[in-house]
Amino acid sequence: MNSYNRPLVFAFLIVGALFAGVGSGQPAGRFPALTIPRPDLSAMEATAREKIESMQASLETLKQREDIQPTELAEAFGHLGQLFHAYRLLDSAEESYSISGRLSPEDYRWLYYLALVQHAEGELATAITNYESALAQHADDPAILLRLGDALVEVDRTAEARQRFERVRELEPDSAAAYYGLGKVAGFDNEFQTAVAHFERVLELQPDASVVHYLLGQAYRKIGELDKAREHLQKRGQEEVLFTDPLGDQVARLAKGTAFEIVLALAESADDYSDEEFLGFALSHFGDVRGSIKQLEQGLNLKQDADASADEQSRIHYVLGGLLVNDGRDTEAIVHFKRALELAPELTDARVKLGNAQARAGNYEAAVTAYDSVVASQPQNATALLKRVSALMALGREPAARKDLEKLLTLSPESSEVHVRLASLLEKNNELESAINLYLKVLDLEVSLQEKPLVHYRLATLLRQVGRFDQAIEQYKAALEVEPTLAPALNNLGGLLAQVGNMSDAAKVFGALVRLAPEQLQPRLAESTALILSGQYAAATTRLEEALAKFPDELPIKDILARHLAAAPDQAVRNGSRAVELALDLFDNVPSPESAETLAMAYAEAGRFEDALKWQRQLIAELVPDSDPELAKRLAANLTLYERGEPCCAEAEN
Amino acid sequence: MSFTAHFRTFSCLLGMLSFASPGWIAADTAEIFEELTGSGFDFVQFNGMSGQFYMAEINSGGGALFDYDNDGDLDLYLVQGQMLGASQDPAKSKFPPRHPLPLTDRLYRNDLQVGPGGQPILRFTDVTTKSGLVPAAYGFGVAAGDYDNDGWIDLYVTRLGSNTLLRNQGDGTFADVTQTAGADDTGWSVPAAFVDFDRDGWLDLYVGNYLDFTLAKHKICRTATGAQDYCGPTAYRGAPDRLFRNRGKASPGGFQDVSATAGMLRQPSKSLGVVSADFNSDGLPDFYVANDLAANQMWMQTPDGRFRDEALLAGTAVNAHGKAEASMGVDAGDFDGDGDDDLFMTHLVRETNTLFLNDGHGMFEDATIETGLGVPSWSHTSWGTAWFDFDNDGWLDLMIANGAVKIIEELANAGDPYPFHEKNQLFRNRGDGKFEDVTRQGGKVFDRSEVSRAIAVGDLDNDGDSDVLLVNNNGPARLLINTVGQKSTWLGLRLLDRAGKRDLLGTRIAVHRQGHKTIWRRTRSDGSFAAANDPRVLVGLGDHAGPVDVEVHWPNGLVERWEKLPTGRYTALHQGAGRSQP
Repeated sequence: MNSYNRPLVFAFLIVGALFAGVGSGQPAGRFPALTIPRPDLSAMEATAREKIESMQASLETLKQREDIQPTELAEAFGHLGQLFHAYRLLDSAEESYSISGRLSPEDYRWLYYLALVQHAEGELATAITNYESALAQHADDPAILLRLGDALVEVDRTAEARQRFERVRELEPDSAAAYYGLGKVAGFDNEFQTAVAHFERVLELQPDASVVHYLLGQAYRKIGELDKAREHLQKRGQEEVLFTDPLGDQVARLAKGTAFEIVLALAESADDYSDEEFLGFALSHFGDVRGSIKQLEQGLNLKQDADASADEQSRIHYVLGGLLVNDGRDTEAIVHFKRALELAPELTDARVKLGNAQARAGNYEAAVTAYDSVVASQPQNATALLKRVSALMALGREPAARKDLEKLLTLSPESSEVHVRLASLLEKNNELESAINLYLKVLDLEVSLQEKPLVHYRLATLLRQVGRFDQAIEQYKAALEVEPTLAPALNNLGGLLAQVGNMSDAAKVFGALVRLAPEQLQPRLAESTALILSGQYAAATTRLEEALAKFPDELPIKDILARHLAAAPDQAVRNGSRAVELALDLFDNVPSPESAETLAMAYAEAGRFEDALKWQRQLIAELVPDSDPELAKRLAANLTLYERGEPCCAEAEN
Repeated sequence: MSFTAHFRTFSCLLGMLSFASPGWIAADTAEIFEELTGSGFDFVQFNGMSGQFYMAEINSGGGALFDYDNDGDLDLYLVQGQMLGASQDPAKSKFPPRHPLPLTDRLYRNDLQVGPGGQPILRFTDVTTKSGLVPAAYGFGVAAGDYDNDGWIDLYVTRLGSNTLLRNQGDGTFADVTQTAGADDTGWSVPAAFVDFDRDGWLDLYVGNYLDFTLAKHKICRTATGAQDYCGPTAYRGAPDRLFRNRGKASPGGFQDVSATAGMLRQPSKSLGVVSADFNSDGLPDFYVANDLAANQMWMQTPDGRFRDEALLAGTAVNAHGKAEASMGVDAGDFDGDGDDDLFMTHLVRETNTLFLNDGHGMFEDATIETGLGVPSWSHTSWGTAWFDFDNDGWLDLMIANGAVKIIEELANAGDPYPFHEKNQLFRNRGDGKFEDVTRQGGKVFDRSEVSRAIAVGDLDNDGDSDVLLVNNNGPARLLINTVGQKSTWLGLRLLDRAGKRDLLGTRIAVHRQGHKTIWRRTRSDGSFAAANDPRVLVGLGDHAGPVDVEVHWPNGLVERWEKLPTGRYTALHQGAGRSQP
């Protein structure tokens, strides 16, 4: 690869050498020794190839001119270099800029471009030399200073880099890029406090420069401010720090232009066209969706002005529609898809996308119409059929949707999505056994890890509904095996285990749910209840106290805990005074018969039988006769116990 | 003082010959590595190149060094590609296979002998057919470890499609037990690592998944000139990695997929490299995952057996400029001799490779630039890499395998039929925090320009220095035999369980020498790209004379000490046989 050093020193000698061919039997022209870079063009798109070949031919002609001046030729080689640069043919760009630099050593532009290419190629030593040479000719150019500073950082020459960034700060006190460079240098030199100050300043000057957050976060980490570090690390993004670089921008603009031409060329090539290819190419070269849309809109205007063919225009409308969808602008996309179809009605993909956009915009009838057209011409178009199912469901036309799904099942027997959709529909129609069979079939198909737990979960829920509890339990467990944090599965499994009397396992499952959702009250109550019912009284006490500490105002916890402490079969966990404390608080808040009963139980356990009897008798007296015989019986039985000076029985608690 | 060390001093005094003949190489040694030829090792990787630019074609090339027959020397396992695309006929490939069909992975037995002068003679025999290996899906990487504790090293091969767990049956054959063991993944897996993360005495398995790619999802990607080229990783979505916990005694030979509980399932990655070590010195193995053009992950294990990705705060997710890089291979090792494992990973052209320096508590700094590893890597696309002490001076050096994934303009212009090749690189750790590029002294094999992918490191000829298996994409694999390391003092160790059957991967070893800094090493077979390394620990001791003391930190937390271990030979240390340390 060529490199170019110290052009000013050697310029005279080199230019002299370039003239050497004159009058020595060499081909005509003043610069026969200059070789025009000729990269391999064979695999390129025609538009790129033609553009390069055309510029090479012009340059060849120019080279032959007897009156050509070195600066004029330098300009031409420079432009060819820019074109190569835009096409990312960096070797050829470097060669071209190098020739320009030799022909016109006092023109800093070629040195700068040469340095830019070398910098990108990792030829840092020569890049630095050429940045410095460019700077010698164009002193205090902020863009060159900044690029040079960056290159110096890369080769661990931070003191020199710092000087360059400082100079930019002197020239442009509000240059975010200068502070960014200074921050990086400070970071590399372990001056983290200084780095923080510089990076904070960058964000003041350019708040959207999200790339800075990572460096700022790391600088905060290194000075021990971890909260701030985390805050900034979370905000990390890709938005670069901006600076003015007219020469660099020229190449960037050229690159966008050439990319756009290729995008259009691809769009025009019916045999070689694919939506994703086009989108990917457009996005990678225009930078973002909105940039791509803008470019395509401009391109469309040009094509319309140029009276381009219907086919050509339809493809641009189609791709533009796709990009607008990508940008969340469905209504605008609809216009372009429709226009594409007016120009080229056979563009089936455009019709499907029109349907999709209509559906997203809530125009389900219009969506169905679009899908109908596709299915009419392509009865086996699975994409259109599946999309039509969604639109039909949204319109409440379930029988039609079911018909489509059944057809899809024959077209795509291995599609898990079709099976799941049909199973959901059957479930909705209460055809539970059929739905179960379909879900079971899904599990035999290739299902992604993300989908698998949901299939198990749905299946489990259906099995539970039809009373196949053991199988339901297995399916819930299978869901949790893949996704242990699937809260609804934990909740339902816990409930089902409790339902079949397996309180011990239910308590474990609810315990897992508590760990997963510590802010939820219900799982804690469920876990505690299951622990009590499985005889794990001490564990239940612990869990209930933890729950109360977490939710001090929740009365159901107080009620359960008070009763538990007053009447647990395990004497070791009983605690009368704590039970009284809780029951009084409960009754103050909810003076209900249930609270009164709890209070009586607590008094009894605390040995305060007079109080217990007083409350129990009052409760019995206020009980509406014959309203609840079971309760009356229990209250009477407990009253007898209290009268005998005995605390409450276990049955009362349960 | 040894001759090597003496020459170093002499050379420094002269202040010359720094390139032509560096001081740390003995005068009679022209090359650090010599390529082994005529040994019977003849593997050529077939990448299935169809002209469609299927992304998998350009990334493949993996292999392992492991002792499959327990005869005390390292054998070779090479992962093979397959034809991709509509035509299943390999003959229709742009570069038809050079091995007979059907294409299978290949196993080469090392028939190491000692010559009349005591010199090792390496011969390899292709035992693929005898071993029972059969054709499988397109292969990428391989991990080696005795997952069933029967004393025979098993293999896990990653593929585009179903992976393969190959149980070593101890009679020279392997059985595909993937399905019964419950260790499959049907996506596109590349790196894998055996490690006993829950410290129950049974090797678990980490499997890195690359992209959500199938041939049906193939996309056409182009250069800025519209020419078709291989896609980059942004063309496809990532896929979550898998962590398989060995069920151990409860269900011998079985694995449980704990990816969800452990945390990996929620965070899709684009994994090309994985390495396990205890990065924050809390006694629990962690994982570092190198992702292609996506933030890398540092899965720190918590005491409840789950993992949290701490890469962002730890400073290892992205480079010093905050940019996610195209990470390929990765290795962990204590390059600066401070007792913790640092990370080195390889990247794409126009990015630098990256060295992350560990502070001992799991916090890292990007030290690429100051160590001198940045600039030389900028113009290469790098893959396999390993920390290993090729000159046995006690400092971990680096080798880097290079080869492009996008057409190299210069080569295409020259009409090269496979314009992706580059030269590999070798860096010597100077011991002062800097590396010097010694590629030119590496040997003629470093003059070759190839599309290199995996490297695996191990002592193939048991002469006390580290040799290299280099696997090339669409080309012959090579064996690089070290010619300098054995001239320094060395200590070879095998760290085994109480029964003396299984290498206890993840064991940390401190080697104490009077008057010298302690050297820390770790038993491992993971790291690099798509490769499995020699699980033995080879410690270079420079000019140290006499025995050394060794402190062994076993994965289960037990610490034992052995004193006055002999150098210049391999010694097996059995857990429980040393002097217990508090």
